[in-house]
Amino acid sequence: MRPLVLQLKHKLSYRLDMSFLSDFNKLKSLTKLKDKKIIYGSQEIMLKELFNISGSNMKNIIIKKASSLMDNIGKNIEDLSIKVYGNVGYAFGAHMINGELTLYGNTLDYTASGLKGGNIMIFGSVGKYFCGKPNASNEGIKDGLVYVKGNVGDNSIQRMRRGVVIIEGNVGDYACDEMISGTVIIKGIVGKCFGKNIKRGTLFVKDKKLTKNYVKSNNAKYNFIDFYLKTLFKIIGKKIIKNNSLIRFYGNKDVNNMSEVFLIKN
Amino acid sequence: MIYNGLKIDNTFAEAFNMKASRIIVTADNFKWAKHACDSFTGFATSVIACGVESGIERQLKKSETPDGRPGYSILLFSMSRSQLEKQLETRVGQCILTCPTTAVFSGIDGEDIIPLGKNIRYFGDGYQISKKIGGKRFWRIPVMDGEFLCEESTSRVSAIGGGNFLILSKNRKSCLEACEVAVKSIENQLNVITPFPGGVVRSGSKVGSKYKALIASTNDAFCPTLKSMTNSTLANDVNCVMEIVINGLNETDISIAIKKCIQSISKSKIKKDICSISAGNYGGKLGQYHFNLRKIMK
Repeated sequence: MRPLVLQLKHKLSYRLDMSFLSDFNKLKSLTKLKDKKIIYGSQEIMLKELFNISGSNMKNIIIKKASSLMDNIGKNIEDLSIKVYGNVGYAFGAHMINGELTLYGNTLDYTASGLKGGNIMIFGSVGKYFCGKPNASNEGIKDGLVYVKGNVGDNSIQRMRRGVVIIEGNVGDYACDEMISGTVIIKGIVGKCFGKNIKRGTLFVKDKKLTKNYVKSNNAKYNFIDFYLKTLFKIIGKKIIKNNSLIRFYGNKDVNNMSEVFLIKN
Repeated sequence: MIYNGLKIDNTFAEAFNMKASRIIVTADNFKWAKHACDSFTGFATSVIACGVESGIERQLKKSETPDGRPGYSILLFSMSRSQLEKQLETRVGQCILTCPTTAVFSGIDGEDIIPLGKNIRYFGDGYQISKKIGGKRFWRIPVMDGEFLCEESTSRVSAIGGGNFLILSKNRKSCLEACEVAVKSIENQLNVITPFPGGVVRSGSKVGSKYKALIASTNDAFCPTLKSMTNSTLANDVNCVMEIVINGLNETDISIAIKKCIQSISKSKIKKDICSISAGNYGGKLGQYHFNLRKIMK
């Protein structure tokens, strides 16, 4: 079956809530999908009025020529694969439960906030509150894997509980605030007030300043590193870190801080 | 039936429903992975007294293991879920956690999840670290050589235990050699193990005993020393009988393994000393699976 392709018929004039994509699993026919009613501006219209729709695989969706007025792409999706070409709006992949979400472009704020599972690959940069707490919740991402090729804005990765976040670019201020657990890999430069009140978790960083409050560990063999990096390679299809280039720091001046830092040597 | 010069008796092996699981043990090299596996599968020959029947399924190359290190896969069989769980945790805790450089992973997927490192993690005394990736949770337990990595759980599947055949030979030397040839022919076969020492049993049993406390006793019908005393099935020239017990994840795998074993004996020079190939059963009333030797060798 060919993937379902959605392409805007004309440029958007209003913001468009794309959270209807999570309902595609429940729709039984392509006709019902085309006739699905969505809110656009102040009126209710059918999906086919806004998009050219081709293909038939409702579990494998491609959105072409996306717009930064498209919000909530991938919100609450379960067992769907969505590929998006172009920049998108707010809350990309928010509350995602399972599946694959790939973006070839940039996103605005609240990307992957409240993520519960699945893989998100972003080949661009993202805005503020990335992988953060969603509105009306005091908990950040609970599981899943997020990869960002570009840079990330301020106040990102707040109260992260589980999962993996990989950032190839730089990260803004106040990142990893109150982190509870999980794994964060940052290959770029990190802004101020990083990891305030962090409790547990594993950080792989290149920025040496993050290790200043930590104690250097002995140079023991960590079996999990080889395994973890091999698994990441399988998921992402790319080697993120060389496993022989890491120095571990564990133990902090703050006794409540049980996190560990792996410094990536150049 | 004569198969390639080897007499195959018209009989069947009787096998039972069991529960099984598979784990993968890796280490810095094969030597230490093997030490861990030998320890884990030691005293795991029969459920009668060991709790589980276990054995090394095959050697795994670096490219086949989750962490890219050399390793082995192990299969465990038990009659009940609770016994399987208990034995798995005990053996991982005492034999693999303790062995230098090792790590342990689940080697089978299924809906029925059983704990692997879920409780062993408490050995970390609060310093254990959980990592979840690809939908699976792993535990990093600090130990004196670095870290012990173990997957939180594995799965349990339905399986078959007790597939077998008997080698009836003119003398002990050739019987043992035939057994060795047979076991070697399936040493890397998927989904099957031979849980007994070297894959061979010399103390085949029958159900019950003249002593009330025993549930099994020597299979007198196949003991050459008792030929004149009991209702023996042995021909006059049979002076040694050995059994190869094969446990597997399904009927097909066990049938293939039995066939491979008998074929390998029939191709070896030792076959001239083999009187016949037979099988152990309990009259067909106890086991849910029957492996008819002649059907398998057709």
